[in-house]
Amino acid sequence: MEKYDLIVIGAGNSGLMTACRASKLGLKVLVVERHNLPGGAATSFVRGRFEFDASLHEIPDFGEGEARGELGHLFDELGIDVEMVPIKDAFRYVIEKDGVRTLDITFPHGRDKVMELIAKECPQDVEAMENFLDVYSEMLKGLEYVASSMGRVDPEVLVREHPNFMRIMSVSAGELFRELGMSEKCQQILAAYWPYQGTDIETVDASRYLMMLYGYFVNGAYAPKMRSHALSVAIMRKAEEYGCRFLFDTEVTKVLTRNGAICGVELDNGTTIETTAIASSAYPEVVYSKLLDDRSLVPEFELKKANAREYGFRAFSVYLGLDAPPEEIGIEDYTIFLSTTGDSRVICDESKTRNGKEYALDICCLNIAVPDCSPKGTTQMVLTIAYTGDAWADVNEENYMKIKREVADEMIDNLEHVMGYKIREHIEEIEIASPVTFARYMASPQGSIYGYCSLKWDGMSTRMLVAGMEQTIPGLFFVGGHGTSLSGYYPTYTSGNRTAFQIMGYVRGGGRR
Amino acid sequence: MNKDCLNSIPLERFGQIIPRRRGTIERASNEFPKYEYNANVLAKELHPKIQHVIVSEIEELNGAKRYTLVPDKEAGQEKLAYFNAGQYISLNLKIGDSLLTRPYSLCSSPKEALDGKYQITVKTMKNGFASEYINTNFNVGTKLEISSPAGFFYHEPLRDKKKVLGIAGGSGIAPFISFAKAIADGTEDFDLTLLYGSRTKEEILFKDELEELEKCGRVKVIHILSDEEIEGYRHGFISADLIKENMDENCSIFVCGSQGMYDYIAKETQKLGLTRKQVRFDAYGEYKLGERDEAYVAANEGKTYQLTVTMDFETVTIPAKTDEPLLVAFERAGLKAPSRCRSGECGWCRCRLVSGNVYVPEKIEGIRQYDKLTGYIHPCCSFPCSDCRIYINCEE
Repeated sequence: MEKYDLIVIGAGNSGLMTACRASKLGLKVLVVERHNLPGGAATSFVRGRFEFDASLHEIPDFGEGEARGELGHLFDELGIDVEMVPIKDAFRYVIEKDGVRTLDITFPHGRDKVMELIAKECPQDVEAMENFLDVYSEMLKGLEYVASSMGRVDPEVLVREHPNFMRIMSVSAGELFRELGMSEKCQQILAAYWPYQGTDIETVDASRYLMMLYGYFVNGAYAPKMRSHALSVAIMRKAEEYGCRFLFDTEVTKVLTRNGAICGVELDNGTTIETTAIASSAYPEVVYSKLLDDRSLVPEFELKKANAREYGFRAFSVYLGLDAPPEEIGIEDYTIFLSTTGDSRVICDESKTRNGKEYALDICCLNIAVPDCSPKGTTQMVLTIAYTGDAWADVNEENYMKIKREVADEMIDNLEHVMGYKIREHIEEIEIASPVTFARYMASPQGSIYGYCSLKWDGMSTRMLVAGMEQTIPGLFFVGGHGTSLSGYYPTYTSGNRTAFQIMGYVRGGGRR
Repeated sequence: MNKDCLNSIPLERFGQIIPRRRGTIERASNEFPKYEYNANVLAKELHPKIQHVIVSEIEELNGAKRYTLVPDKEAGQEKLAYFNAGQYISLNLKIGDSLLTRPYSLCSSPKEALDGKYQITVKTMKNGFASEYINTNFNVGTKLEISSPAGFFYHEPLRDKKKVLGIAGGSGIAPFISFAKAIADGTEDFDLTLLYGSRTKEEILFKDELEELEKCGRVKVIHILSDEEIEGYRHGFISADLIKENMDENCSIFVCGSQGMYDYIAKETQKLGLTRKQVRFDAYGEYKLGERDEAYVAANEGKTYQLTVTMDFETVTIPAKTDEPLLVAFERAGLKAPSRCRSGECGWCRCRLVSGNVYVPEKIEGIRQYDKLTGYIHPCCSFPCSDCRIYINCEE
């Protein structure tokens, strides 16, 4: 077989975007995917007359017209055209415990509407909120400077031109809220999105959180009309137009090296393919401990890093196809964050095992944004909770289904109880995805869907600042939720795109960094 | 904005970011990291890509054979994947030059899988290419490759009622044997009334076994014979009246049988106003063109088209008849194209139709919306209307 410039392991969001960009840049690219279709978690599946999205609720930073966001521009520039549907409100946030509701608020999209709501709900926080939205652009300029400096940041330039960037980079989201002098209520409301980050508000980077909030609040949120599967197929087809090839139902069984650098892969069908570079959606520990032909090449620092890291969320989702329309069930909102407490630290702590008493339930009803996503007179919705520990370590073949159903049962109970929905009598189709299911389809350790957890020493700011400094085997690049920008659709798309440029530099440089 | 709003955060903290990261990493172990956890191992145990099994026992039934399959330890198979009662496995077969698959419902209990035992029942069908081959050629000791258990025909307590009315026709009894066994051994927790239609008393499969299973007190079997009137047996078809007589509103209906029977039962349950939530059909099976496909048949009858198929980047040109799905054309040509349910619902055979046209019967609903727009098809339920260009497992 011929030689490639780049082999991408895994056709998830990041792998697809890396492949698409690298092909557009003129590299000869092959994508190898275990499954029989692209997307990884960005896929859909059909049960009866329903087609469910496996993972996507909404994408920030897409935007339209003047509010076109970074991701929207990226898609435009690559020529990827997928029908996206705007989502009216950002979220409804309900905090209720033992029948006592302490918060029930619907947060809008659009800067003006956000400010109106803050003026109404937390009048004393108007200035802090304005400042919060304004420091975003300062942070962005700083990030652009760091990204363009390719690991050679001049501290003097930083101090002179980007002081607020430096400050934001060094604190957590919770600290930033307090530094801006926000009231507790305002902090609690802004913290609503914390489950999208895979860690609590006191741990996640302010930079990452600010970026996401700004993206949602100002550019709005979007969902593809035909599930994330449409996004994945559209990116793949565009990559093909640029000359990329895809091989499905095939697993990379070995990563091959020569003279200390990447030189090829071995596939489960026994063939060997030569390549200059590899973009791996497989986690570093999988490459180092399982796939690599010469383990002595792994730098000690990389091994230590892999051991020091913790996994992000392991998701548990219940997909429901209901035989009644949303209005009959009582659903009015696209996204509901339903929680027993506004303290994300408590929930993260309680979510290490399956027995936690506090919960944060994320509810998404696609029909609210895309009414014809399921047949007339029906509703589809997805309920998701997340684990912060290896909560499915004790499950075996025999008790697996039973435990899965018990967890799903409790989630449905909580939803019916708090929101007053009539779910059970309408369940026509139900599918349950546990961390084991995500492990099956994504092959991620413990079924993590969020790469590595955004810890204080390993958040987005930190990963970006050290990009280019921490070297692994020449020719080996990591893309995906475990990459520099953390997890989620927007981060994996954009980091995949960025990594393609680094890869081009490596390949064009004749295989040297 | 107020540029000074963050001034209380000392700039020095920025300088601590990288040292803090380095310090944390340096303190960690330098062992090769663990990459596989229980969730990963369990995912593989539940969903192995292939299972190597060996036929350990063959029982003659009335016009059918029951095969017991056990792990082929020589091939490295130590155990069998667990399943939900009602699911099927897909057999990989090589008959002449053809490479094909056939799905068969497991008719053993999930509990038995944990002890390394699956059972399937194969009835020799009229013109049944695979069933005839299997029942003629499989012996004790025959080695097989099978899929992991699959399919959505199982009792889901969060969705289905605790009372189930099963409707079985002929060899469609198989998944219900699994249901009944799982009920009897405590794996499943629901009551099963079974309307089991056979042509004649002679053709009833598992008659004694069902009687034995009824003793658990939660399984009841009513035999209906279409071609014979015998005392002690109902005569006729499984009509709306008969269904009504045996159900109440707290009841979920599960149906497994031939396509003709599905179409009939669908009409009967519609008469009773039953909804899709209440009535679940097992996979439809390989689609047989009939009356409702009149327009397609009229335009294409007797024709053969050419398929140019690229699979794993190798291209071949093969003929495709218009009275069978594209998947069969792949199989006849000896292509090892993926497939499982052969009913359109599992998506395992999904491939790309680059050019050309195919006919997909209206009944098929397993195809994703975006796939329909962008040329992806399930060849197990697609019939050619022209020469076609197809990609399997690869795209470029």
